[in-house]
Amino acid sequence: MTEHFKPYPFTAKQYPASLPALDDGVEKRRHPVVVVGGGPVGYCTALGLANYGVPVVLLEADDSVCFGSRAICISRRSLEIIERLGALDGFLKTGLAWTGGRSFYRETEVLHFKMPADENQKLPPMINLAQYSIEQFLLDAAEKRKDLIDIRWQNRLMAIDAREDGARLTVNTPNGDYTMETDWVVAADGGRSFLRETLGLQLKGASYEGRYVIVDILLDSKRPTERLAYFDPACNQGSTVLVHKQPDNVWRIDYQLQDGEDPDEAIKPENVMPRVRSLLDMMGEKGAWNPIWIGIYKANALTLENYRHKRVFFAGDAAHLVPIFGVRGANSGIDDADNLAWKLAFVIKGLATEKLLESYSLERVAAAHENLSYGTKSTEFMAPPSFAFELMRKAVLSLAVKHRELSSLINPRQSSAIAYAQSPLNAAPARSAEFDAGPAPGQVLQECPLTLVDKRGTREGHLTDLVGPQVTAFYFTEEGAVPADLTKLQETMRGRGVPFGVALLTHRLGAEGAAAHGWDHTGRLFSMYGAEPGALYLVRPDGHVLGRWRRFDAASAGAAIDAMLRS
Amino acid sequence: MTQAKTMTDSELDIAYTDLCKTMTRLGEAQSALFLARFALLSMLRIGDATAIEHLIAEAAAIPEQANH
Repeated sequence: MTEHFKPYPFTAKQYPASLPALDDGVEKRRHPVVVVGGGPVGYCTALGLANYGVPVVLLEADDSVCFGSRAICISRRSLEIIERLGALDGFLKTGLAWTGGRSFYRETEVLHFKMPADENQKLPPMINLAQYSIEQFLLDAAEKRKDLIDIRWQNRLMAIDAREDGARLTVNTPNGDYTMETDWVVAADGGRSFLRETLGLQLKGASYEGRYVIVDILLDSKRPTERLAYFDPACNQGSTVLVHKQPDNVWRIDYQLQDGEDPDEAIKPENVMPRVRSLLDMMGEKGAWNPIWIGIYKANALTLENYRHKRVFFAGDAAHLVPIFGVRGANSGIDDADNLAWKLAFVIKGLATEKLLESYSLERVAAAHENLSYGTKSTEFMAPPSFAFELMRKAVLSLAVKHRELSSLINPRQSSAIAYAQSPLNAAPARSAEFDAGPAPGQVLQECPLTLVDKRGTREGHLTDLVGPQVTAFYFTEEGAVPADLTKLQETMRGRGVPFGVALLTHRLGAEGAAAHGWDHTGRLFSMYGAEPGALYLVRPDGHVLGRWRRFDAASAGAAIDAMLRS
Repeated sequence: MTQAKTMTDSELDIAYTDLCKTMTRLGEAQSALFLARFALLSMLRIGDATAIEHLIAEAAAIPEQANH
């Protein structure tokens, strides 16, 4: 039986080439920021900037969202960001949520891992969603911001003249070429970044020899969504096979090529189909299936050492290439976008000095190194780079059933939120050290259910619902009283045009007509944050803690914000 | 045989990677001798003849599937 290829169950809308109003091949209007690349990172950056009212031009070389087998796993942290960008609904509606996975050694289950999915959480730890859908939902959100986001399809960047005060871009379109001037550029142009190449910047790190064949298939199966890893399975002896379920009956299968296998031969359908068939037989999947896509993957663990070059910022795969095994590629790119957007917006709007932007590179390069170290560990297990890793893996797998403490070595170390422990923005470390619980400066907020009370009424919600495109002062209070100094700080910040909000977190439900607040109805929030009434957490627009005080101190909190803006 | 856990996941991870990298550096030809020396040093550190006897028996019970 020969299974024939079918297309992905997704039809991408095609967009005509756009060309701005030109004067002799030159766009007269100078732009504050141009984002190069219409992938998840480019869209997230553009949406992030739009949240602050900053107009963005987004250049996309193709005429539609992406095609083929790309990112599929979106983490809870990414979903939190995507919610702030106004695109969450589609992700949750279409994406398949999952909480864990199973690893097998031959026929024996050697690991059943669960990601944190406690009762405090609002969002699933991970969803599976094909990248074309990821891009489509972000594009849908961007199209609702047409007033600020100018998406230019079939606009291919051909050249850049990067200067200390901006850049001139030369863009090719089917309707003719043009040049434009911009103050800032965001390079979100992917793993084969033209900007990285043309600016002569080098990725540093390791490349691995082991190769994986990646196959997407259509298969109707009721099997639950979880990450499946088969080590040395009967269907593909000596190899490792990974299986992920995607929406619309698409399944992602990755299998490791063995030493000496020729990759060009290995991806020929006549060599791929029998392996897929025997895998499905082994899994007990009896239904009809069709291949959609075959590709090959080689793990890289590479990053630029600085994500800023003059006025160009690198984000996502343009900045770093992370092995796929910890699903940190797209997720770290979305985090880059979230980190960069507010800082760039603050600088463009004159609210902060350019120094704030230095923290983008410092924080995200450190994050990339952390992601790479996890990704490297996963890769060393999934695609052993030497006889020693191979031999030791065999030892782990053959002992793991009886010795559960070895199972952490098999765990794929899925993406999680990164803490910016060394960030220059982290404020008042001595005051933070007075806490015995809760997120320290540089860490993200811990989720907790709340009852949200405002003029519209009372509803169930979560702490992260209160993070908006602003600096947020989370003030812990008995039942909603706000100290005069905090109101004054808010007025001062707003007077300077700094987006700033106060979120009140109360022990008790406020009286009728009380100011908007989040009521800790479970009684878990205060202890989770090591807070008593009077405590304050200052939170950056990207949800990372800036500083915290067991007793609100207006002078110290104001100084923390000033230091950030003039950092 | 059960034993109190004395290493965190992260410590185990680091030790495991260190062992793999050391073996890689020494090369395949030396790895059997390296593991033999490591086993001997571990025996001295364990210092419990019965425990060592159990460990030898357990390590020798190589499952069929790992044997190719």
